[in-house]
Amino acid sequence: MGSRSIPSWAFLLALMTIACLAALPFALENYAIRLATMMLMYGVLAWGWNIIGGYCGYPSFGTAAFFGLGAYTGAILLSQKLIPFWLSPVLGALACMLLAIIIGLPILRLRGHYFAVASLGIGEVLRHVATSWTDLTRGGMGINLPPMLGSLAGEARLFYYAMLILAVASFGATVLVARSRLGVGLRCIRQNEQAANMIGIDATRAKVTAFALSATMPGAAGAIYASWIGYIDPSDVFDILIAIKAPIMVLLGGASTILGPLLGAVAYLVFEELVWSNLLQFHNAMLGIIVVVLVLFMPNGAIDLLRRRARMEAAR
Amino acid sequence: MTALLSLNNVSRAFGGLRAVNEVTLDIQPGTILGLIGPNGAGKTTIVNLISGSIRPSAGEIWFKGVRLDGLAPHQVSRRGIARTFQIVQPFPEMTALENVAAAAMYAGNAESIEAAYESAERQLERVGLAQCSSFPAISLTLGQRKRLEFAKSLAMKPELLMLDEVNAGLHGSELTETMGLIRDLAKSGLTIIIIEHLMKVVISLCHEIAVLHHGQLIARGQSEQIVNDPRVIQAYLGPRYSQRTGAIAG
Repeated sequence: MGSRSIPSWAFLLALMTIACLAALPFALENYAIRLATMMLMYGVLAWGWNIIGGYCGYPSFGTAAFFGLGAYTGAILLSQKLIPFWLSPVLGALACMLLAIIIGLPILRLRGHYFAVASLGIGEVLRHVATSWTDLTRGGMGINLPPMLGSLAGEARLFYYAMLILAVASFGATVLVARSRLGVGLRCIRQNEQAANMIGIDATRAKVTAFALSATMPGAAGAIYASWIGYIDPSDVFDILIAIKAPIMVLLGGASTILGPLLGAVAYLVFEELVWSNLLQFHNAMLGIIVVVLVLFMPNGAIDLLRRRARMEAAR
Repeated sequence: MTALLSLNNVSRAFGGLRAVNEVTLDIQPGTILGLIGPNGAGKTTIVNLISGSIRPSAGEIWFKGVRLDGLAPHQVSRRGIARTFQIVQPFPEMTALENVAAAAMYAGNAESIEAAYESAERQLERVGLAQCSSFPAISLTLGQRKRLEFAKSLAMKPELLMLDEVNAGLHGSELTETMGLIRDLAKSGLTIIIIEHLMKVVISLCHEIAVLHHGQLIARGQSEQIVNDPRVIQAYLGPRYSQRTGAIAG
């Protein structure tokens, strides 16, 4: 199997893509930069979900919880001027990692739907906490963050680059997981947890590690988002739609693949923009329709579709 | 000689049913022990108890001076005990090679991922599956899957290997190959427990046979002793069998 070492063309392609993305803000106007930032953020959320939901096969609806916790961690510390901006995604990620370990130990014993529902609960609980703990979070009033730079264009670029760095880190983490012992362990757990235990895999430890790692990505993204948008409130950052979007993007692109999540994020964002601008009333209904179409016609995502086509071409 | 594995008065109850009832059993290193008995006698339960997937209700299990009962399955397997399942348990989407490499990586303690793949290739070769190494496990036939289980267990570098009906569903030549493989493994010093219904396999392979009935160990000894033991004949073999094999074993 030659796929065990990274082919040099893939390495070059990745570098070139990153270079192009880094040059993008100089070619785009503010609205397009904003869209590109959103695309990178969606990519990060999808890569995060892919580790627990894709590789490990535990369908988490916890993305909103971690996104919100990261956003609040960053917003509270920044609004009180306790830390510089660059530290906020780091601390947001750490807070989420800690929460994922504490919550993961009990709920990762559950499987399938039971785990999904339990993970959905984390976000709901945190949303209530954020709403009620007014001394710390200002409750439903939300938290305002002062602009970081004077110019609108400068801000747009700053947050674009922050999201780009995070996206590159998430991509790198995914490559590492996919090619590591942990990645093999997670794939075994997804396919047959009992057999995984029998070949010496400490399933609990692997699952908690995966959950903690997958939580850091939305956590960091949430912290950057808070500064970027400049205002957060509980219903915005703990929005259940965030928890649903993440798996949809991954399934759209291809679960437990390295590039599938990004592909799904791009496709989803394009779709979202089209639907938002044309069918304002039906936005959520369309989301439902995508889910149904996905499950029926491409349960393994776009990457799988492309691979199968390539294989058929090769066989001809 | 000290035993590699000892079960001391091990019992396991499921509700009111005593699936394993005060079984005491020692296995010497390098031997092949056959575990036989009618369906529901508790054979697979004993394998499950040793491998840690269930815990004994009473009694102790010792392996190389370490107490096993109470350890989780992954801890047991890392101590050098591997098992195959009666119903094969491959990782269906992974290739045969990846299946075996995963076992080498974890319980087999391979020092690197590359080393795990190399060891996996050797094990697939050993069980005669080298030509299928890039096939997804789900596409293998039953016989191939059984051998894949075998390769997975071997990649774990076990000292004790438990084979739960590894021959069930295999046809003539496959059966001969598997038996040859088991013999070779025993020669290389591996200790093996075999659960098996085919008496010809048991008699030709095993140094010793233990017979379970209703969760109790009713007999233990070499094959001639066992096939002529009246309790074993009554509980499991039936009188006609012992007449037939009396000639062979004797």
